[in-house]
Amino acid sequence: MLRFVLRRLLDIVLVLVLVSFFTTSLVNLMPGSPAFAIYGSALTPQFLANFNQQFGLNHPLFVRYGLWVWHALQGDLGISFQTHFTVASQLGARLPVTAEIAVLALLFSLLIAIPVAMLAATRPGRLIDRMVTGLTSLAQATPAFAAAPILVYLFAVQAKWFQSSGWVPLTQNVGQNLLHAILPVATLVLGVAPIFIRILRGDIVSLLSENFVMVARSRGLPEWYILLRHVLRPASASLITVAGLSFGYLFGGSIIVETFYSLPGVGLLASQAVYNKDLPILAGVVVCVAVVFVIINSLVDLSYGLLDPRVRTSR
Amino acid sequence: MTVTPGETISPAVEGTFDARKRHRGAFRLGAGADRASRRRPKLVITACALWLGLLIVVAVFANVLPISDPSKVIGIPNVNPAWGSQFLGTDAIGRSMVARLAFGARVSFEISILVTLVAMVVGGAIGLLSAFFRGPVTFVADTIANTILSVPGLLLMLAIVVVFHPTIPVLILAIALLYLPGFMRVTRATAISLIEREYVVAARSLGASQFRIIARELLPNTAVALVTYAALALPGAMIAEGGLSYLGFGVQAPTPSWGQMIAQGQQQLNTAPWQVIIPCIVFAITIFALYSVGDWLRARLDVRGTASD
Repeated sequence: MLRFVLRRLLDIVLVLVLVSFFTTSLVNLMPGSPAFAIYGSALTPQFLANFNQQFGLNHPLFVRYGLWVWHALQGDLGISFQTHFTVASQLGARLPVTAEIAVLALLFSLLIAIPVAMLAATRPGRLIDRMVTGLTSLAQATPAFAAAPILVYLFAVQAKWFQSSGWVPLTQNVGQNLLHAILPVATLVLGVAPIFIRILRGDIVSLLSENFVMVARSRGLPEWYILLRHVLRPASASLITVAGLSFGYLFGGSIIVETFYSLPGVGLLASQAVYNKDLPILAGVVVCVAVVFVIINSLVDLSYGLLDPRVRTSR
Repeated sequence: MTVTPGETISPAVEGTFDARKRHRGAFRLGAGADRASRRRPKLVITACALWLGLLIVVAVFANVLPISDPSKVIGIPNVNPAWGSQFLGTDAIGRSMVARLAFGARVSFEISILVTLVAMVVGGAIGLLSAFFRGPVTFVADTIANTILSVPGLLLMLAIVVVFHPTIPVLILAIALLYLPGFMRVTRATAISLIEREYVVAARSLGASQFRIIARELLPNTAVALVTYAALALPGAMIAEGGLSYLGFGVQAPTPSWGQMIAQGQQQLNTAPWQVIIPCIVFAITIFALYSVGDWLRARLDVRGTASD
């Protein structure tokens, strides 16, 4: 177990070093100084010199990388090229929005996926199962940027139930906040829930043919009890894996969703940073997201042992 | 019909309603029922194949077909398709929606097919090499793959297009990077299971060179797994390209693309909703068709377990 954890830690450190090195080297990959990309022809030589001096762009790549890591370890992710705010403060201000949207989307996906998958899996090949399969394939085939306009057209333009854009912070007004969150969350749920349903349905169908389910049935236990007690727990291992992996989708989706619904989250920050060629901001976002992603995936790996005793003994 | 082991049903009652009711458990246990339901009806597959065929023909012959130039203003803006004067209407500055969709299909297919090919060739080669040589090659390949996978795909692509101007070759390489790890792992998993097989051992004992073993023994037998994964990667690449174009970092105007059409159309969502709804639906149908035909292909090739990443 210790060996496994150490191995895992080594992998994590290596991956994070590579990711952060890649983001630092973006400046070198860019043709000319980033100041050219931002200010274009309005740039004077004096200004360029100041700019390079201020952001430490005169140092060679490895020195810049060392400095970046040294500062990052102390919580300083640098300063934005454009707004001159610190990257950490920008990220901190926008993280709650993205986190709220992502957590709500994950929660609702699970709430929808578990009953629907059970319903379909206990009636394989029947009408309801085929309907679920058809609808999930259709939803899976609709990427966030195509689902969002359709949702807004149906529920904001036609039905006028929700706002199509804007944001009210959770701390300011809970009801308004949730009302603004519904459509963005629904867009993400449309992408994540079908995957959960498909995986869970497949798992439940194969688990229902296991001997322990037959034993439970022969003991006369009610079907709902078997599903919740004997089937859901082993099925949750793969569900947790997919939930961990869905973080990547949720973040990628949140770039689209936040841009579409103009929510002040990390995703919008990232797409604005690309537009403004604001490399420090983008680097901060990429590294932070990679850290979160890597931690989540490691927790997922560790959770297998907790959920399934067989994994614990074999390791 | 599936029956649990040791259970027999006499043919006389097999088909009756009572028997089915009595053996509902048996129906439920059936793994066979699962397979049947996953397979889509023939009609749907045929429709999907026809749709894709139509799109590809339109994309390839977009220059020759009697449609206007996608960047030419052909009439008044915001013509509603329901008026019937212009099939599928015009966009906010009066360009033909049909022409823009057709030339957008060209960009979508061009990029996603090339992405799949590039990722398949490079990823497959790395996978084969790391299966054959193990050790350091595998370590390096795995670390790079983990690094790519540790950043959400769209964010990684953004980090690439912030530096390089998003021309079509840049987009192809950026999106292909996302699918390298998948192709690599699929190939390696398959190749590792092949290396111990008799024919590979035989080739080795006959003194075949390393290159020959990789190229003539391993490569042809990983082809099915590669094609199966490619069927998944192709729609994924199309979505990735659409997402980038939607954000404005994909192919640049005047070249039209579906993602761009959605982004431009959404500004007219209140007044001219078809400008955004039509490309959305076309996109969704195309992805659905690609997935369906891919599933069908996988079932025909009948690969067990190798394609699930």
